[in-house]
Amino acid sequence: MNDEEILKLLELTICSEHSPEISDEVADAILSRSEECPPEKTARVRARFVEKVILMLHPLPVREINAKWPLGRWFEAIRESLRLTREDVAVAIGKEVIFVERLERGEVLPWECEPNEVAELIRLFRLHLNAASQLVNNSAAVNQVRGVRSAAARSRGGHASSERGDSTKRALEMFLAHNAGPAKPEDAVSEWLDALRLALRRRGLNELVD
Amino acid sequence: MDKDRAITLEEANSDAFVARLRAGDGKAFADLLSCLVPKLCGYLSHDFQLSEQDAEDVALDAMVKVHKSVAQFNPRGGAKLSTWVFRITKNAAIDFKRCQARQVAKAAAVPLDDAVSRQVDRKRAAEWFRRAAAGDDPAGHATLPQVIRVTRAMKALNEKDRDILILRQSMEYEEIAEVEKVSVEALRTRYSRALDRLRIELQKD
Repeated sequence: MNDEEILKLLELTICSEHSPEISDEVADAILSRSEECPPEKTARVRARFVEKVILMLHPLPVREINAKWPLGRWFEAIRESLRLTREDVAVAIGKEVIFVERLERGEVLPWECEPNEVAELIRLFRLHLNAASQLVNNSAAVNQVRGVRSAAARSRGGHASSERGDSTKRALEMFLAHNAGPAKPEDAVSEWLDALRLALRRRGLNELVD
Repeated sequence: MDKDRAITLEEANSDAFVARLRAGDGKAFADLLSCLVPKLCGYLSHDFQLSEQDAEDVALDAMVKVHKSVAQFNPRGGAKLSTWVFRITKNAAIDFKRCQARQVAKAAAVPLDDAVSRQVDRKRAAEWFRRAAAGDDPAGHATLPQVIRVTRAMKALNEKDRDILILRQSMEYEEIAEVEKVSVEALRTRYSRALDRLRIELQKD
């Protein structure tokens, strides 16, 4: 074997699964090279990462929802199960974190948002319109029983916190909505769902509509 | 720490940061992404000759695997976090290349009209044929016994020799010299000696 052949084989070996294990020193040296990364690329990379993580969970659109959760709570549960932050979701849909936060917490109702904005979330979470409609109707049911007072709750350790009060309030609302039975669909909600359908179609997301 | 500043490799490998990652801290993972993905893309473009788009895809696929299993990462298991991520990325790139070679081989086997209609890159197919005809099988089958021989020989070397042989495939002498804080001349000598010892090991085999 001449030198040229050895070098060629060395190159093939190192880029193959037969390569000897990479040591910390080698990895450190290669990774210490500085690579230019403009902020827009950082945001794009993060958005694509979030899409890939969700795509892995939902390779096919989610068509059925068993939970009686409002739309925002469903987004929150999926996000949390994937260990993603609200900021991750906001970057992936090109919105501010506050938008995601308010929708998740039920501080803003789906039909109070622009259909285009919610369509982006539905695209990201791969939610079929039928399932989205069901969740929006759950949001309507919760909204009907919603109280104006805040809940106070304390943990077993005895510490009261607004976070705990908030989650208790949301749980109570969902419980009451569940017992109240299906909400009468309001015209505004139905119209909004039609607009959502159009927004999804305009994005070419037919698999989430048909 | 400045909120918008990307974390350094050293920070990423710190016990506190690894603990945050293992606990499922999403912000920590976002920081890891910003720190490592550009570097991994650079490595994949250089060593695996991937396009910018493919390099980003492979790096992100690797990061999805990291995200899925980071809770099981054992910092006491030996390798640093960044080395662990690097190995996962390298394996993802090897899988990608293998898959690409299979697709090219498959595309080359279909009639011309089909190939055109499937938007196959015919230049790549032609290159595959040329290399296959020259006995340099792109899928690696023809050279596999030789690759295994080189692997065996490399494993017989000491770690320093092995490291310089691997590093030299990815980096210029000047780059390695900067990182390792040694002179280019010293590196050339080290590389040349490592290559000599590899040659001896190959002759033994």
